[in-house]
Amino acid sequence: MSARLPASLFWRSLLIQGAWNYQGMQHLGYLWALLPIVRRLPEDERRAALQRATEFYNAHPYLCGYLLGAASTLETEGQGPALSRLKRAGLTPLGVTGDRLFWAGLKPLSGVLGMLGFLVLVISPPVADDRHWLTAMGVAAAATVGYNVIHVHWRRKALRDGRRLGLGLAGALRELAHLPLLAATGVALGLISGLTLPLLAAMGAGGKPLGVLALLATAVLSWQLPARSWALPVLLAAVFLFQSL
Amino acid sequence: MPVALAILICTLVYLDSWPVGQFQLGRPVLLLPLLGWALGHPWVGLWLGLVLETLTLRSLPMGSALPPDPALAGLWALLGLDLGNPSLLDKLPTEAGVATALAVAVPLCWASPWLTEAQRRINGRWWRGRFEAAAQAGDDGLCGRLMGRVLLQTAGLAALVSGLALGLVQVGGSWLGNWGRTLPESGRLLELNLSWLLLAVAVGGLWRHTAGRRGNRALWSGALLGLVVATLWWLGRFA
Repeated sequence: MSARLPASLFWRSLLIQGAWNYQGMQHLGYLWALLPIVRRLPEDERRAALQRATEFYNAHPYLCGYLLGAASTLETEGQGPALSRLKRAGLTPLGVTGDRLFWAGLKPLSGVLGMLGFLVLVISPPVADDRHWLTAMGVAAAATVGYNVIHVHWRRKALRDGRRLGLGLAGALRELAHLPLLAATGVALGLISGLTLPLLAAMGAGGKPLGVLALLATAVLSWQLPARSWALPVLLAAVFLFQSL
Repeated sequence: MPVALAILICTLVYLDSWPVGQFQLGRPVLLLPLLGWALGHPWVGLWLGLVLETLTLRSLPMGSALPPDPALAGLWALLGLDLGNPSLLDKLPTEAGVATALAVAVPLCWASPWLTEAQRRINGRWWRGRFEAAAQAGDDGLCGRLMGRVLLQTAGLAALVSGLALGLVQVGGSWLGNWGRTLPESGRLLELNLSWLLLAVAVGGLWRHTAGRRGNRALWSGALLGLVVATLWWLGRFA
């Protein structure tokens, strides 16, 4: 495999959701990402490889490199037909781990860190000057950059491990569910979320007891209401109504 | 801000939100305060960013789910209300501007996924057949070119819908802004304003996302720490 191929796979993996649809989900992005590999196959194997690539595919977009890397190794070694089984075994663990680590963990964590930055640096001081604003924006930018450093690291690691492991990937994916990073992200998110509510109640009400109580009551209601689709709009409508009294 | 530039920013942020990369470049807590600051309406950008980011933190784009799109909704609200010279935001007092922007952006947040829904259906009905036919024929060159066309079409649809949404925000925002001016000053009852109440709703949702309805040790430890910090802040401010 030439040195340019891994880089090409990496850049193409960024468009894994480019043609997402309800029938095959990410399968068209997966097909497009694999094209540099397919083009290096002998003429008579290309059509079969392309057809294999149109099978259903949906994993977490940041971790799609595991299966892309394994596919590049297997197709190059002439073991393409084994890919369907590997995909079936790998899609669920990749989806579940990616959703837990990124969508439910690191993304909210970096968002709350950015929010805390504005709360403490811009909203809490009596007068916020440009320096306060720039520092708070720096905190939000650092949280987003930090998120992307981890995200890009995982994209590259997934591609590298997938290429190295090939068919052995199925066993390695089972270990993903026990990543220490998953537990650490959960604890960090719990701590930061817990920290936010008292600060919000104190700063929002300017220390006035009735205001603090109203903010706490609103937050606790939102926390305890059933997680149904109507609950949040109803609560928002109540807040608007309450505010217009 | 020129309309073309506003549409371009909305389109680029939309492309990053799911079809290309997903680097979270448009995340509200970063982009909206930055844009608001650059446009001369920092508090509008700040409150839009904080409320939209926190309100939608627990909505996850898992599988085929279509969660609210806070980045696009926030951009439509902020840029739509800032269009024109003088813009609606220039004419309104800061607090009324913030309330108007939030009143526009929160419903848009839940309406914006229809754009993604439409694009995904177009991908399934129009582009999927072409890709699969090219793969069936072993035409890797056509497969390669098709992705460029899909992205171009996605960007075109996002630009068109953003243009319409910006116009809609102008009309709806100006009506809301005029109506808002006739109401008593916001926040008289408990000296709270709408933004703080919305943020409280959002933080409650975040607690639920983080630790369920019973909480956990990390959440309660954070709350205890927050209580200490808030008390120190309060003592420092009012001593």
